[in-house]
Amino acid sequence: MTAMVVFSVATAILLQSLAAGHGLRGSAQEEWLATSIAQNTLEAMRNEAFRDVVRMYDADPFNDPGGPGTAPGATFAVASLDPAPDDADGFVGEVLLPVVNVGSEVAPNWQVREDLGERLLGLPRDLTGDAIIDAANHADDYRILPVLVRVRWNGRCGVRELRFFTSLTEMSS
Amino acid sequence: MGDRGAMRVRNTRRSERGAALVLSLIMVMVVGSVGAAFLQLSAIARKDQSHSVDQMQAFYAAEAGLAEAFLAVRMGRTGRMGSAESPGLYGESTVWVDSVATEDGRVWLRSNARNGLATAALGLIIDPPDPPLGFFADEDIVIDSVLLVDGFDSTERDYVDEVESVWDGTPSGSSSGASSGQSDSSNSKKKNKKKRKSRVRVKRPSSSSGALDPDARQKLLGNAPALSAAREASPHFAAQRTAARFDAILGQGALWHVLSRQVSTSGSSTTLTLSPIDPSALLSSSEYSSFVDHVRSMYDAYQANALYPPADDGAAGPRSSGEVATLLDRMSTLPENSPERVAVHTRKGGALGSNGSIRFKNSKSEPVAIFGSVVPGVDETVKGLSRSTVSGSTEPRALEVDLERVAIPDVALDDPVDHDGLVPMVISNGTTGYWSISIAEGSELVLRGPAKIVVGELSVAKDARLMLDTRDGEVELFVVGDMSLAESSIVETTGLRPSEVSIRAAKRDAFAAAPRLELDSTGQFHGTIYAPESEVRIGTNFEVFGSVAARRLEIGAGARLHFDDETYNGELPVPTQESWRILDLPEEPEEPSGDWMRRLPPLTEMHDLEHVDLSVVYLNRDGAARSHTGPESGFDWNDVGAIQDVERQDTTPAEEAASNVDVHDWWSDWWDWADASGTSHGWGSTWGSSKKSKSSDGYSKVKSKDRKSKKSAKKKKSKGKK
Amino acid sequence: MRSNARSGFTMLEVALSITLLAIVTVKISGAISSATDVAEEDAAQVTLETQARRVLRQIGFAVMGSHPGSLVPDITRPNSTSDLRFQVSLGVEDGEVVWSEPEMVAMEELQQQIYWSDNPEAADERRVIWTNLVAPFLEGELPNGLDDNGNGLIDEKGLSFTIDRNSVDMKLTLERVRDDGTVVHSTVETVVTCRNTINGWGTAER
Repeated sequence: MTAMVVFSVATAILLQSLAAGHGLRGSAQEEWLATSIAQNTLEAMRNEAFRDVVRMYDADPFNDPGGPGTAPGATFAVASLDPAPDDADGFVGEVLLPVVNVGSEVAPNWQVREDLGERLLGLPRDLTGDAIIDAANHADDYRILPVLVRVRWNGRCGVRELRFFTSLTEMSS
Repeated sequence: MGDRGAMRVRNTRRSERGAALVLSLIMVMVVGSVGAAFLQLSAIARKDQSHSVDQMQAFYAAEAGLAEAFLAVRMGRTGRMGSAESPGLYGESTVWVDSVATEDGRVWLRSNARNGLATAALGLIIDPPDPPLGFFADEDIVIDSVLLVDGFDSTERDYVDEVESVWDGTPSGSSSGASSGQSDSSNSKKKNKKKRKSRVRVKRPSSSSGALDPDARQKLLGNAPALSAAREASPHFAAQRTAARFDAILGQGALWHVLSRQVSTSGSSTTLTLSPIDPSALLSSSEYSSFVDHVRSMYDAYQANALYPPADDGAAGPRSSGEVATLLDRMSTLPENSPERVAVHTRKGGALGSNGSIRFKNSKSEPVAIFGSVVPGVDETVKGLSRSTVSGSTEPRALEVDLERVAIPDVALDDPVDHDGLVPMVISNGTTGYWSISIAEGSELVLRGPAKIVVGELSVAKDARLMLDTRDGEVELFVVGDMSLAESSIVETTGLRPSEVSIRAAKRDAFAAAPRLELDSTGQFHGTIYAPESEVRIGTNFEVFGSVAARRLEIGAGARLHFDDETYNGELPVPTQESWRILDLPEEPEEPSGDWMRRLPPLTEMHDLEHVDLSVVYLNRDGAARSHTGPESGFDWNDVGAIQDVERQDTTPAEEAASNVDVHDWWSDWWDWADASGTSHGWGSTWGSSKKSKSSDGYSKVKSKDRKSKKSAKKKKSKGKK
Repeated sequence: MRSNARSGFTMLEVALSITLLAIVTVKISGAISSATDVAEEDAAQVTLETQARRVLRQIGFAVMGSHPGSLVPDITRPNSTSDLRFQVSLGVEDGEVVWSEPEMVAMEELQQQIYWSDNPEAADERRVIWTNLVAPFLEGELPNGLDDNGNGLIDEKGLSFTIDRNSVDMKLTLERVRDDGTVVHSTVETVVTCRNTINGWGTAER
């Protein structure tokens, strides 16, 4: 009888560990996907002309360099990853830039601003290389661009988030 | 019996029970080990994945460090940000950037980042743009009479506007208007500091700063027609200046025709008709764009009778109305040794340089005014500055400038052109060559762009006129023989941009003598002269708005040299990115760092400003003019409303720079790391070692460069702002 | 006697117990067996995925330091290549950027290997095997002139590169045949952008 109990408990532990291992693997798979997509996004941004990055990756589809709706925009989905339950836009991935819409939803006016309070991007900060932080729109003269790519999903172990910070600057004349 | 039988039964059952237990324990062990192994494998994979995430985050944070440092170098800062002991926070990573400026003028950056247990180090070698040469000679320069050197940027505004902008301003403080004494103190102050060629200027349009000497102004104006105070205060003053500029470009009263016949308004809307005169065809695209922007204000000024009438003589050369233009025109009538010749000027931007020494022979008696820097050659000095004015640096240059040879276009040379007649001769656009061109007294020759002209000898006789017409395109003149512009001949350029006209001189072949350029004519020359093998003489009334680089430079008494810094084009120059590399990207987790326990400042606040000398002229938040000269660490940028002029200079002491890590080791460290990575690293089993053998070459090359660099540093070629 | 009688089991009890025990044992054994199978499969998958990610990261970092102009062949979608040549920047010497000898990351189909090669096809070529589990074709792809797996590429190999301006899109499928004949796949993909984009590559030292 004791043997049976021991045997059963051991079996349960085995199954549990297998399940846990399977869960870990799934979790690692999710992280790989998230990392991979975030990396691809950052690399794709680097592949664009520096001056076009904001217009391609802001939330305004009307200012895309190749015509309205042709750019990737500020959000992206990731196959096999579900958005978090509290995610408003329903997209797993998000690109954060120092931009703000000073217009309306109907008539958007996205501006690159140094005086925003987005601390994740280190704002407020100088973006033009003149050491001054002002309230002007620097869409045409920004010289450095802090970027955050955030992937947030509803995973096996609950809501997970990965954040990749970098900066882009104009490196070719 | 019964007891024994019972005993046997119990013994058997006990032994059976033991067997089952052992069996089950064995099973448990097997099962457990399988489970544990799988769990361990999954945990390793999870840990590996987690480290991989940390590594990518560290990698991109290190890239951010490089980007921040790159921009810092572009701004004129050192690029150093934080240190291993005191890193900055970027996102969720700690980052610091090491930076070393090498003697060949390059900046080596190493950006280090740590995220969790992962670290990353990336390297970048950049070549900041060469500073502009301005007026430069390979040999010593001797100044023995009156001289004015100043500067402006025609992409912002023309020279007249630049002077007008400082007309009534207040003295701009310690950053400008410096005396020779100040230069000396500046020299001694910087004597022990590392020389660094990267200086960056950022210029913004300003409303008022600096001053024109009021006494000289009054004296110079004399009975010349001056702008009245009321006119200066006129709401149409800006439009007047704009109209004067376009009048000069369009010529022949075309502007008045356009404003009177081709512009109509209705409320706030303005309609410009492009017929019969089409400004879009007569102006460059940027000029036309500016014209459209200003047409309403010019029209309003015209309607208010506030514009000047067209020039009577219909001269196509650049003429600007207003007091300053009048003063400038009068300059050529003043005696060559008149002190008033240096009285009208801008207050910055001049550049006089040499690979040798620069000596002011009679500066005690003859005024010399240099609003900008005087840069002698390596280990050379500026002598005799007792009465002269040098507002900028007189520090010797760090590297010898190696003027590149001129590549003469391979063009067949046509017969000589000897023009002698009343009707102007036009050499129209295209690529052409002539054995010689000579313009006889009283004759006129027009070189019309876009044109590339190779000429053997070029001579312009007394009272002859040479017009360089760039309204349709640039004029490039290649001179392989002597060039002689006689005294009282006239040379004019239609454009206001030096990039529109270039004169380049070179030997015809290796055995030929170097051409000599004697530029004694009268006129305002907007262009560049580049003659690395030649002796160039700039006469008293040959007023240059651009730059000159030559082997030997003779500057006539009373010369006025205005360096046009248009090469910056109103933009901060982008350093050249030469080499990017991963220097260290360990696959294995590092030891935990205490960084995470500390509260760190943002990376962007970690610039090394202690070793950056800042000279800035600005308007503060209240609109008051201010200036600052000194370490940037002592300057509060929060008080700045608008920048008018800013310069930075790396002042890292040589001994401190020398104590830094050998930058070449940064690159060689990579190989050591790759070699040590072994099989346990994702970089492959033997890749590191196979690269190692290759890197040995690369490494020794780089090391030898380090040894050679000190010798070869002086040979760094200047791609310069010619 | 009474106590002896009470301590024994009837044949029925014993038979029932043995039957139940047998059933439970069989069930548990089955569960353990299938769980072990799953664990083995998972372990194989984990190993394969880890290996695939490492190799792809390795390739990515290797290509990242190259000049986009050095990428050979310059191949764009829907075509792809399994052999990519490139040259990386080694630093600066005498004022000139020094580039490496050509390097290559390629797939050896017969050996199912991915290797890195220094100075490919030269007499002194050196090869380093980075993995030997590469699939002949990317997961879901067949050599039929069609895009079977819907990734926009036609007949792409187990290692495939496509180039988009300065970026290289790379995909990799590793596969392992288990003892029972089943095949475990792991497919990963990434994009990297070449960082050394200085002008004048055409005239650069090669």
